[in-house]
Amino acid sequence: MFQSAVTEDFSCPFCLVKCANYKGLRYHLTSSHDLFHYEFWVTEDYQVVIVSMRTDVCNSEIIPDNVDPKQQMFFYCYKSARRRKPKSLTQNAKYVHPLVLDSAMPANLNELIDNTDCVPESTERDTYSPDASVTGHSFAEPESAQSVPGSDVAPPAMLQFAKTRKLSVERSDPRNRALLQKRQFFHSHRAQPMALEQVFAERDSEDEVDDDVADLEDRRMLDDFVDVSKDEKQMMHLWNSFVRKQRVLADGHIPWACEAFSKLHGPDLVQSPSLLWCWRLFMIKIWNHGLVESRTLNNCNMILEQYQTQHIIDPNPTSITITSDDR
Amino acid sequence: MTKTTLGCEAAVGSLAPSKKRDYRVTNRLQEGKRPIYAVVFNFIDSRYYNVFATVGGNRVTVYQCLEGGVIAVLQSYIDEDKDESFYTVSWACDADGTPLLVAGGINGIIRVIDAGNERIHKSFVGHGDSVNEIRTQALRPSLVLSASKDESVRLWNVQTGICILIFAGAGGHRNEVLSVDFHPSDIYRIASCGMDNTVKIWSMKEFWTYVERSFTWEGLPSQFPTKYVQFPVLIASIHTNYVDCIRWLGDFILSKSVDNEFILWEPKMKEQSPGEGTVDILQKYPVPECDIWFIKLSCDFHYNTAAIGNREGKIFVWELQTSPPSLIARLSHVQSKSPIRQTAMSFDGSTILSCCEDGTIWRWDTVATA
Repeated sequence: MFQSAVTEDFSCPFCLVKCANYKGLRYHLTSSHDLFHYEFWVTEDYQVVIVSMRTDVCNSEIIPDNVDPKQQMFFYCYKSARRRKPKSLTQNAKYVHPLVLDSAMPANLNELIDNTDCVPESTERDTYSPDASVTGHSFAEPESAQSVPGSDVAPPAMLQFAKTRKLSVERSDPRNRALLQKRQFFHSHRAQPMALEQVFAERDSEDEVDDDVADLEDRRMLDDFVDVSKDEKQMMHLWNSFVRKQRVLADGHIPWACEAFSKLHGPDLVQSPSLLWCWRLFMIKIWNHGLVESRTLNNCNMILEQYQTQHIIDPNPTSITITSDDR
Repeated sequence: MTKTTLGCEAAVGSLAPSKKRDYRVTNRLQEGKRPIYAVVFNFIDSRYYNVFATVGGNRVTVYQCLEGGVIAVLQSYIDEDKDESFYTVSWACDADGTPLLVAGGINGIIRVIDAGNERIHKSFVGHGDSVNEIRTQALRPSLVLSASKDESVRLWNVQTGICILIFAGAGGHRNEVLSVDFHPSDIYRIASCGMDNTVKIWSMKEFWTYVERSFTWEGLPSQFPTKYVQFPVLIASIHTNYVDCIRWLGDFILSKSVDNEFILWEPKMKEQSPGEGTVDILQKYPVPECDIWFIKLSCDFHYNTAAIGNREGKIFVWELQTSPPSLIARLSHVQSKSPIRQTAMSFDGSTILSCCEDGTIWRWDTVATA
């Protein structure tokens, strides 16, 4: 049950108010037409608004029982300006060119749209009514869609794309699958052919950092330092590795990182006083730089102290297991 | 980058043949019109020491050297793609000892042919461009290295079809890789060279667990965690032009550019700082009229002798391990005028095969000398 409308100048598909830009349209739609739910989605070529019924505002007066309001939605596509149709060809302020995508659209939805005072023509868009071809065009004939006045601003491929993107997983999956099955895909780094199950898998690790290799290279890089002690190198390596794996990117992450690092490596740190000393020195350094507050230092030292007492009680702490992803 | 140490002059071999051994032509075959780029004996399996393979155009052919200069055709494989032009072939071996032929060329697809059952075993895709050389690890004959125009070297497991390692990236070659070789005893070590005029020595030590894993991998080959090896342990700039052939001779390296010679040198790695080190050129083996690229030398099984062709269809047989190097023989024939791309020495060096640009294969055998 889809209908798509393409408009120009970011005009509202319901009341034809020109909103000047996508942002304006966004505010206009959400404030003036609150009967609908909007999803705003921007691609390189298109700015699309996906409009669906808001279930909470629909009452039984408008929606008959056999219609699931969630299934009723249509798209709003904005065509980018450079391919816009010349104004002279636009007939009688036809800013809106609706295309009925699904012929199974019940008449009452059109009533609904009518009720909300949206597209004036859309009441006639019922494709299963005999006069549907006068203004409405079934999406089943993509070629004819081209001949609809102004429909060139919404190429069928786009509709198809929008449809595939929007459709719920269970509906679009067979088509997506068929498309993905048609050709061979390759891993971007290794250029190895991907098995079908990998193509469909959620995971795409190709852009991720290879931690094993990164660790190796970090060690190698640190090995080159001649004025750094072994413990200092080890400390640097642990921290570099931790920061990379946990994606500690901003200054604001540092307090968390310090505490998490203390928890993760605490058991090992308390067993090596010189390593622990390196860590404390490092914390003081970042405190000097204003990256952590004294409270964080305190927290970290509490964590370490806890491990220390446990370590004294049981020199081989088997009971202390911290979830560690550090290899 | 490496520096050449001063103070010790390289020993240059004399071009006066010692005539220690003499060879004469015993056979000549015209395989086709297209150039033959590679010829190689099967040193992997002692049952097939007299079997050799050639590649030219889209064809891989297997022959057997018989008594009295006879060459018998055993098998011939033709790639379905007419435009394929194989540049290299190497013998490998399955877990159960089935002889495999691994060939690669302009398409960049490596074909693994099961020569025991006469069928295609696997095809490896991954290289982004032509494959210039394939070599087999003699200690683990399921491992092969491929050198490619895409500036990378890949390590494959022909048994499981896995691409284990890719030697490329920050410290990798900056132009086509033309030649690779496994170290004869240090299984972790390989060397590569190419059009960036450098020789790079790589270590797989830190990555060896992945090599072992490739043998027991049960998932899909494409799911294997292929690793990039980005930094070689030594980068040597000893040549000033394309380096098109490299072979280990113990811990030393034989390499060849387009300077009418090939050289023997010692790489000296610095343990503390990978990538740096020095080289010491030990010996030089002159090869006249050998100034075009893609001419490769071959050695007998024990690396006692090396044979290399030249642009004019002549072959130079060098004794490798004497100092100064001595030329055993210079082989020439009035009808052999075409550039010889590669030679193949038999196990004991008594037979030398050469494959030429004009599509011919020549067989030379030793003649008893008084």
